[in-house]
Amino acid sequence: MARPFYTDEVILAGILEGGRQRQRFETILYQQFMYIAWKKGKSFRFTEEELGDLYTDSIVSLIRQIVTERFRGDSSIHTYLSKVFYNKCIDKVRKGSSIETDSLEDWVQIPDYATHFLKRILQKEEWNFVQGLMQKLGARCQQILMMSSAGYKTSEIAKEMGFTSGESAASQKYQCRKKLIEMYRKRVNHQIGG
Amino acid sequence: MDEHFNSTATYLNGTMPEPERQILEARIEKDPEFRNQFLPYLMTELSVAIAVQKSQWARLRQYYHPARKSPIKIWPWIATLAACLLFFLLFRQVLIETPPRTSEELFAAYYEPYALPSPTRGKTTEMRQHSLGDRAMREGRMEDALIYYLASLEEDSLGSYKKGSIYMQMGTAYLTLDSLDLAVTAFQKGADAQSAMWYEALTWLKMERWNKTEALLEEILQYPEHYYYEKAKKLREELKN
Repeated sequence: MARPFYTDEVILAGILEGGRQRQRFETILYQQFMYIAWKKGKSFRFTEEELGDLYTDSIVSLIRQIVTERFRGDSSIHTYLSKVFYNKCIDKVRKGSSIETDSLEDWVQIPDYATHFLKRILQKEEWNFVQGLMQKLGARCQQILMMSSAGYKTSEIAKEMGFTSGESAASQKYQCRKKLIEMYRKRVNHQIGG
Repeated sequence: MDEHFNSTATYLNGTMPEPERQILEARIEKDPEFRNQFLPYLMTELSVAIAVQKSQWARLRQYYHPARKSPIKIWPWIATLAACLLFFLLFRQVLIETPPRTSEELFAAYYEPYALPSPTRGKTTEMRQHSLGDRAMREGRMEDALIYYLASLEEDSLGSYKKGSIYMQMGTAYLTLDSLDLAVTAFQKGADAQSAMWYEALTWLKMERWNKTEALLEEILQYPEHYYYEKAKKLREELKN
């Protein structure tokens, strides 16, 4: 059965809504414009794996632009995404097999000023530590914090995670964040002490 | 804690006003104590954001699949079509070319009765005899028609052209009655030379006298303006096949 076609406006509104809707429309966006990778990728000699990675990078980049409201639909998603994907392909050709995927802009959906400021104040080691900090937290805490960061309401988190109410989910979220902060502090104190 | 958390959230989601943001950034850079208090919030929030994005990347990446090939493969169709074409070319004679027709069939395909003159009221006996012959022809009474025609031919008052015309009608009558030798003789005396040649050729055809038929057709084909040129050409081609 043919998948329904969603207009740009519907996709943008869905992503901006956050939570479960955002996740749904991210998937729709990803699937609806996959033909760009197939068509534009033809002119490059990339493997399907590489095309998949580049297309996913492009979509994540577009979602970041949508969420931070740098993409407001002035041009169509097709046009914008085509450009982003093409540029990613060109970058990949220029840089060969190694694409820099651990830079701050690649991994965080934050405003440009925050990116510039954090780049200025963060040391390379500190950045590496921040990237892996969440992995040190328990799986449940990770999920709660990630859902919260992705825009899920506490009631939605409670439903998803099996909490009795939104309040208990909020309380658990608070505890998890506290735990994460303590982990960071410990590391900083350890560095100072060491 | 909430105060720092709220500042972190507004800073990272872009809703913090510009002056407030500048103050915050300056304070982080210049005030070590504030930096030590605030940075853990900022860093942990950043850490969560990174994890969210990595998870988002991995989740979306699983949906990627290469372009699906069309389920309708075109090569088998082309091969089938080519095979059909080859079969057709090899056996077209059997498939479309009809076997040669018999003399009877050819005769039936090309024969049209010679046109009868329109009925007239005759003033003399001879004229009436002739008209009676035409009437009998129209009514399909060929024997009667021949009797009338023969009677009218005995009269000297009839012009030679009229006699020739009567011979044409008699030829037609003999042809209908399958008296083919007599039909040939009648057509040979016919007035309308072009029609007479054609009808004689058809009579020879009915008699399966191929050489005679072809000789007459060749003769007709000498004259492109002949009434029966096209028919003769077609019939000769069929006879050759």
